[in-house]
Amino acid sequence: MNIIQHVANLLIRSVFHADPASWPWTWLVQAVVIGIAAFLAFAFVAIFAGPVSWIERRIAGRIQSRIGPNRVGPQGVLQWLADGVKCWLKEDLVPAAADRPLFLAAPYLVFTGMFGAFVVLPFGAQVVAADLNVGILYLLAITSLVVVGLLMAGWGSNSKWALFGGVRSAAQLVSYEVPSAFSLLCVVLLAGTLSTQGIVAAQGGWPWDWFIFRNPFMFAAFFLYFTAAIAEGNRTPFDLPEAESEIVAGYNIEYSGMRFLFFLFAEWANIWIMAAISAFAFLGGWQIPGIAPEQIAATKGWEFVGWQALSWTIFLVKATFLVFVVIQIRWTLPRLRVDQLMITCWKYLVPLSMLMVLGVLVLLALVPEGGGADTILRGAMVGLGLAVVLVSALRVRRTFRVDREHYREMEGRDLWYPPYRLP
Amino acid sequence: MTPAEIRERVSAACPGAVEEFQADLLDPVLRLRPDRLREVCRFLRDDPGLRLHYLRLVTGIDRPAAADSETPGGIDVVYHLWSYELRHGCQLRVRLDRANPVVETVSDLWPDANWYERECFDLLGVTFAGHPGLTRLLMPADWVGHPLRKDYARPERYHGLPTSRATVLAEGRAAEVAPAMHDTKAQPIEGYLRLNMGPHHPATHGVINFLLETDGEILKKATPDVGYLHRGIEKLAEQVGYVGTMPYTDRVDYLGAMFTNHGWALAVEKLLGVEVPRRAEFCRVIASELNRIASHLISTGSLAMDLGAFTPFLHWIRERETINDIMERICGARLTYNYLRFGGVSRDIDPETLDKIKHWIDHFEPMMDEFDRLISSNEIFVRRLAGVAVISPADAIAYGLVGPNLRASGVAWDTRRDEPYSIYPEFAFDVVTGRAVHGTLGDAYDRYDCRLREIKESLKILRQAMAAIPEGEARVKVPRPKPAANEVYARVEGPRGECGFYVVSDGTEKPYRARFRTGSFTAMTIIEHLSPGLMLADLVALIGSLDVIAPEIDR
Amino acid sequence: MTASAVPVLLVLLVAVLFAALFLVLSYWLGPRRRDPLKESPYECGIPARGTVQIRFFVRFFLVALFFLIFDLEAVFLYPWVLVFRSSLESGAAAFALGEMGVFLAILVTGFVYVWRKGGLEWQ
Repeated sequence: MNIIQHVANLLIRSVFHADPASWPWTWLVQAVVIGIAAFLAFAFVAIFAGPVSWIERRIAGRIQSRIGPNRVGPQGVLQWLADGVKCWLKEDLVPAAADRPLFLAAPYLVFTGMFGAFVVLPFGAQVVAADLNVGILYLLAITSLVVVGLLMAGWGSNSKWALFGGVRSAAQLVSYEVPSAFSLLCVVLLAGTLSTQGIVAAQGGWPWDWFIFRNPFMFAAFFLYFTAAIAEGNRTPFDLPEAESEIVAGYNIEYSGMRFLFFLFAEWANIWIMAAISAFAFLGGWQIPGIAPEQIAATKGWEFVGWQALSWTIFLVKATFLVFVVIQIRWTLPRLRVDQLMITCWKYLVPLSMLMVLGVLVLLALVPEGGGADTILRGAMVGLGLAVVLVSALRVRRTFRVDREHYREMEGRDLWYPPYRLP
Repeated sequence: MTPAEIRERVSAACPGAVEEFQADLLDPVLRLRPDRLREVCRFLRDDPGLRLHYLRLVTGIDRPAAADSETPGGIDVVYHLWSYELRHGCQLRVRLDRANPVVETVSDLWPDANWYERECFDLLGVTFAGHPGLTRLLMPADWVGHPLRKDYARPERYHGLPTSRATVLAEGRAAEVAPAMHDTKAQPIEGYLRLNMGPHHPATHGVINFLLETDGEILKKATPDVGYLHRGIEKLAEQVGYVGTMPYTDRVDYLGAMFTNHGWALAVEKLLGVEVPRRAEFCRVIASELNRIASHLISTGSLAMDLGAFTPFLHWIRERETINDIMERICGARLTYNYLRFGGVSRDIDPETLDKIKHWIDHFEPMMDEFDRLISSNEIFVRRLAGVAVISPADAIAYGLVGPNLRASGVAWDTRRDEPYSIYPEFAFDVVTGRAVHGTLGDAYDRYDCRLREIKESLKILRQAMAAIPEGEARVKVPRPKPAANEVYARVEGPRGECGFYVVSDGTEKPYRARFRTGSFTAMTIIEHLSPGLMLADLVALIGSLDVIAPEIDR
Repeated sequence: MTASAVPVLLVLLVAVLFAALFLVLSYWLGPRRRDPLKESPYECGIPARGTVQIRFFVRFFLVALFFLIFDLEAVFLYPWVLVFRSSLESGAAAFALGEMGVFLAILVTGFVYVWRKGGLEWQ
């Protein structure tokens, strides 16, 4: 039973004094509860996408030896609000030559596609708007709505740069849809269900219970999915649809004010969505180490709320970590060329992801879950994961040390260096 | 081979073609019969003993008949030729009828003549018979008159826009611009997507327009259309005199103002016969090399930014900021320096500034490694540049590429070493050439790589210069320049290659004709040649790797 | 199934309403000063020439076709995977695997064919 039915039943019992199972208006109350939940989800999206934009800009500033937004509110945390209000006060321009219906409808589609994905994201043990039994398929479908929106924007603007951007984004998004679908197929293979909550439930709190460390193929599938997800989110190094140095701004070039903000909003929310999908499909989602989902569901009152909050926090931390990775990638790498982009997808990611499905399939048939071989495999994969993390941490540390020594050497010299640091 | 010897050979091969040998000029000139020009040019280019493969400059000079003399007026077209292999050059001149100036084109012999001749047609009205597309280059296609003619009268209005400051001030904001002004000068290919890249495009490095004919992402043709930044500095030089031109040269190349300063100073000092004190030469070299580093930082950084990596650009901007601070201490300006004076520099470099430069170099050298780690060896970056827009050495010379672009194609030519000026022979430094880092010589990556390595060479020169800087005056007093009638061509090695100044003096305080030869102008001519078959993103990489900046093209 | 679709539809409705609300607000709050130059399409600062609706790179069309083929294949695999799990328990895994193997073999052959034909090349 998910949290919405829970709340609806509570309401029906306490306010209407009826039995929810037989009462004819149960669906209406549920609908109202869902509406409120959707509103809360929206607030969450807004509150999340906004700060992500601020965080990204501050991180970018740090990476690039500059400050970044720090004027609105303490350290600029309210910058995103100011930007939003500013966009509200801007003129809503529609080019005279634009295909009006397409041009006007595109932001709706982009927004709805992005927003709709939140419905099935399993935020916590019982916190999910709708635990659809076709969750993953729904995710694949609803995020594709964004493609349609972008293509409409590109075509409807009746501007050549916008058309380039629209066509590029359509080609890119549909191409990378294939490897991401195959990679998620590996997850479904292991979980045996399409429901997002079911996928989380099939994993566990400890890293060796996460899908990513189940076997080498899952390990690879995670990286394939993450790469494809970055491409689907139009992020560097795959930000061709809005490559400002090539096609100026791409599909959103003719948009202004709030409509323009919708595209940006969708982009930032998309980072978070794909990080969340990676987190729940591969990294164990909200699972709390040492306590099974059934035990959480069995708790009552404040204890229930506490466990929910903890699971929620775990999920957020995992997803936010991946958001940081995406931001780091964005401010480090240059952009691919359009043919390289397509070749990367069709010649590498697609065959590789097919191979991963095959590998998982074979292992599933040969290595029974819970057996000795399975345990050894999981242990080895966790070790590998630790090694990857360790090696990158050591590299970062070495770079930092070199830099610190350099700054120490330069100390006291009349240069405007070292750069400003984040407090 | 000296110009006199070249003249002998030309006379022997094409008897009667040379009308006059002006040996008394600082740069001797062969005056040819206009109808024999092509014949002589072909000989000069193809003769194994001459091999003048590089057309440095084509200049038109209007010489109306003087009121008191009987000599008829005419329009001179002067060609500067050079041979990289044999290290000699010569100047050709043809004198054309002023009423109907026609001469045969040499654009099939030297491809970079294409734009030079268009410019000459545009500004002086010289018709080049046989030219493939003789249209205006810098001025709008429907402009009336040729601005560099001595009797040119500016039209009062152009499409309703007032052209004089007084009228603009009187009338207030200009009326709406008539679309005819934007008419470009390229022929469309039917059936393909026509697209304006520029003038306001993030990747064109200034207001340049590329008219693209594309089949989706793949280019059929990219035709550059320039002139958006044309301020007529050559015309201004004729009006403001030798001294007054110095600050204008800053605006010719705003990223390498020290070099345009230096070239102009060299040219005028040659005309005047002024010796520059040693300390001033050191000041010039130190400032120049700092400026070169700053320019290369912008160039390599913005190339990375064009390819989508924003961070390297800002790292380089950060380093350049310190150079700007140093420059401010040296000459009081951060971008348009106006530092050089005829006979020295405007002020001495104080010891404290020298210390600051040393500190900065100590800081900067490790930063080069950081930059390499960040971007130079990045797989995506390499794949975006390696093998893209390859320029062969022969093409590079024929299209008049200079500086890092030329050297990246494997032609080891550095004006500092090979046609030495100032005190550069005293310093030990390497001439970097393309080394085919990723398999193809002369690709976009080599051009990028050359610039980065040139920064290191500049650091070497800086260290040597700061160690050896002598005491003494930084400037000798030079009276208001009034050189006797003469002609000179002076060049320095700027960040975008040879930065040349061809000055014709006539005994007054103002140059009779001043002509600026810049690296970006010729670099633009090769883009049209290289563009078919490139992808849109490759064109961005090509423009970035050639390091063109708009004011240098348009002047 | 229909019951669980209700919340989804509701959420989508809320999303559209939100978008509309935001745009209406911006319609009221924003200035409205029409200007022919402002409403002309952006083409780097000069009037656009030629038309937009002209032949476009055929590669993009091919990509769309490949997507249709391979993404449908992937989506088709999803329900099969669910069945496969249960057949694994019932012991009919070999049969399910064999059937899917035939299906995949055909598609992989197609993929290899496209690759060999140069359908994935861009230059």
